[in-house]
Amino acid sequence: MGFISAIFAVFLILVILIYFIIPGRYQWIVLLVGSYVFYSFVGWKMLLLLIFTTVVTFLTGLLLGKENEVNTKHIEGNEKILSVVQKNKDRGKFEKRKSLILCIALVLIFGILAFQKYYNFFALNFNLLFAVFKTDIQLQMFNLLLPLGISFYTFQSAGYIIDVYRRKYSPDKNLAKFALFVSFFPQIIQGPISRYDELAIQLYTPHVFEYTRVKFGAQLILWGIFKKLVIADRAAIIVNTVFNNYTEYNGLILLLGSMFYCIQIYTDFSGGIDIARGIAQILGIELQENFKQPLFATSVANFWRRWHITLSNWMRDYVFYSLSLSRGFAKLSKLTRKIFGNYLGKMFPTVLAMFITFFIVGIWHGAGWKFIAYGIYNGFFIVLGILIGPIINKAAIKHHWKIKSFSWSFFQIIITFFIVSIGRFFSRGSSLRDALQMINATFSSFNPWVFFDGTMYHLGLDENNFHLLIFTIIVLLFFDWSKEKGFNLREKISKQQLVFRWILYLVGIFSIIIFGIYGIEYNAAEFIYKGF
Amino acid sequence: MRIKYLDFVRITIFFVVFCLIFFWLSKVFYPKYENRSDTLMRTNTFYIQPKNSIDIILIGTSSFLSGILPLTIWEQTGVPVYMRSSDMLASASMYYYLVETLKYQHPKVVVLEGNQLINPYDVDAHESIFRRQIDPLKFSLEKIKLTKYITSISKKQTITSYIFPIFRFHTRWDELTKKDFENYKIERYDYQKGAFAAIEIEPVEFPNSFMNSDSSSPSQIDYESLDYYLRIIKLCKKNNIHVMLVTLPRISWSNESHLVLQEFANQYGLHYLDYNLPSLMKDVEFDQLTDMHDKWHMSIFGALKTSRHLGNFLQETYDIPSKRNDPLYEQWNIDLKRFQTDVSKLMQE
Repeated sequence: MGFISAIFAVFLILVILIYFIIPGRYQWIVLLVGSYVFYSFVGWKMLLLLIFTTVVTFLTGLLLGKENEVNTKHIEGNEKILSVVQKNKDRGKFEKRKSLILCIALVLIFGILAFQKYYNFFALNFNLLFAVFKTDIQLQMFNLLLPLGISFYTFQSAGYIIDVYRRKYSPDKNLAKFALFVSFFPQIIQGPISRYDELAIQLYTPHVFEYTRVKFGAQLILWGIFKKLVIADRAAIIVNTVFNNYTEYNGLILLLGSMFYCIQIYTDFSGGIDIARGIAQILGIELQENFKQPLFATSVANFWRRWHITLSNWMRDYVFYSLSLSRGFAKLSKLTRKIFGNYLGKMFPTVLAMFITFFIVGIWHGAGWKFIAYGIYNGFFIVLGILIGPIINKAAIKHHWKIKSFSWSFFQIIITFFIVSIGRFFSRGSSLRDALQMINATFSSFNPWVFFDGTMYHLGLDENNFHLLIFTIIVLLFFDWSKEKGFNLREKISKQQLVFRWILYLVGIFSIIIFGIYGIEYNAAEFIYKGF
Repeated sequence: MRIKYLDFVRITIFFVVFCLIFFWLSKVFYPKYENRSDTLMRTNTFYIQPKNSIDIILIGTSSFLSGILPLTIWEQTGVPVYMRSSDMLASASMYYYLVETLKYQHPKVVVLEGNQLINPYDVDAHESIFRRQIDPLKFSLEKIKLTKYITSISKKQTITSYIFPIFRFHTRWDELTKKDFENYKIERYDYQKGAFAAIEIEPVEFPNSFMNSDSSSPSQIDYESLDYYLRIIKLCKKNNIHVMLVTLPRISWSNESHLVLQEFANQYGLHYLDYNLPSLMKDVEFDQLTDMHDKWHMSIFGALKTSRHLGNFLQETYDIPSKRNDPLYEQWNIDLKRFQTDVSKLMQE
């Protein structure tokens, strides 16, 4: 049951109606039942995996919470009796036990994800490696199906138990309510990855029907569908033509294909998130923003602060900080400072933690060397930014460059978009080898005439559709730009005359119906991030 | 749910405005091709026939449309016949056409075209043809069921696109012309009673091996089609309606196909007339030079011959009385006169 389907529309209307008709204290039950009905369309085996993750996470939360409680009681109860050394010793014991519980739980829940998503990749490479040594050891490959949304709900669940471990909040004591936190249907398939302390309370609190909020939610859904059906799926036609026949193209066509893929993946993913946020908003629940105008990023690091924000924040809080603030890294920092001096030595552990984080980001996107290369590519440019950023700043001051001017920002945006686009060869190419060949072919020829000789109209879209795509991208950039400048377009529109607003809404709805890429003449595309 | 009265009024008005624009745009985007309007016209005329006034219903493909003329049968026998056929009508559509027909008429005989029993159907490859079959039907449970059947075996089609055709034809946005925005009117009355007399003639040379047993044409029953043929037979039996099979001349026919259909007819006790058989061709005085419109369809000259023959067979076999002098059928005689004038004009040309 995809977001953009008649059956989902019926399901959603039913859920919303029941949700607002029944007394507020039962609303969470409607959401829980709705979420499980929604996920059951994926398949009952997948539903079992979701239940397993939910139960493991819930029990781990309880265990960790109990450990925290016992530990606190023990220290506080024996405040005057225990010496500082003894207190630290006892605390260490508790922490060890908690770490063991956390590790077991993480292995269990990430184990499912790892097995379903990465086992075949591991087995393939293992077999290739052992084939080199001419041994008979071969791992069997399985026909594994990746449960929809597994990465999202696993990361959300893992975040919860790590937070309980870190004593950020007390564990949830109600399994059914907790199950809703893990499975909340608007976000389970492609995020955003929510935090327990932000989402759970909203899910359990009663909400009344508010016309303005429902209207804003509906607008967000409309905008999300527009981005997905009108822009992303139209851009996908060019992207598929170029990437599926990349040996026939070179130079700027390949670059353009990759740039269109940037637009496609952005509008596809953010479109899906807007629909999820819009649905949640109708229900009175605010989900976190996952994008902050990534097309206006001024560096690769800045891009990752604007792109898939909830994943980046998750990686920052649970991987990067865990590594860089760990005892091992503190020791490493001391060592590297001795060897490389103060500046580079201090930088080294941060850079290493960054690389590891982006390695994981790459692998999160999928099982394949191309995804690992994608992570490393982004990690490289972020580290490069960290290293040369101060040098550029010094040079700018010395040579009086106007780095706060529009032209400088524009230059940075173009360069960043170019770097990000090249990186997309890795994530969209069918293999690492293909991606490298495409990058090579992109830089091996310069063919600007393709913009003037009609080549653009032979990449899967006819002239009218190509022009429509460009026009809708301009509309997208305008909306993003206004948001970037702090101009709240939705608020502004809501203050206009009713007739004007209605005309805008109707134009929006009918633009989707008329210009959307759907139906028998097109191959309907699923949301890209649904597969992660 | 706390919803203010004003909000409710607003939502309702917005919804009404949306619906008005939606249905206007649906009309604009719907293709105005000639063959679409022909199908619409035929179906509309069927719906305006007086209830239970038709004795014989013909259900088949374009081969039937051009190959059998209800007004010629009327002229010959005085038996009212209506054509409920469409281009490449799938066996499932045949069944639902019959169900729909029986809501308005109670015929004595249903004449089924046999070809589709051995023709597997690709619902996506023939999507536009399916739409021509379904779109003219009135909104009903049968229409939904037929659409559901198609969408259940198609990976690309949706029920909503059949109920709201704009979801199918929205891609026409860059080919809209003035004609699409004009008030498009189709002729609502089909005096030929659902048939399509093909005026152009193409001499077709049937090979000497035609209807010999070494043909490579398909000769196996398609089991998807069989299911619907059996449903038709069952439905007719339940309603005390006779069923018979007919196949009309076409160059791709073979003796193997004939034998398969004959065996099927024998098994279910149906009459079967195969106008591809040399004996029947001789009976109707079939002429290869004038009687074919193309390799698969008969011309009006061929249709006149087969219709007379079929009309006599139906009246004699099923003992259907003539209604030629029944005042309720006055319009049939008016339509026949118009048809005869048109045909005689054609003969002179």
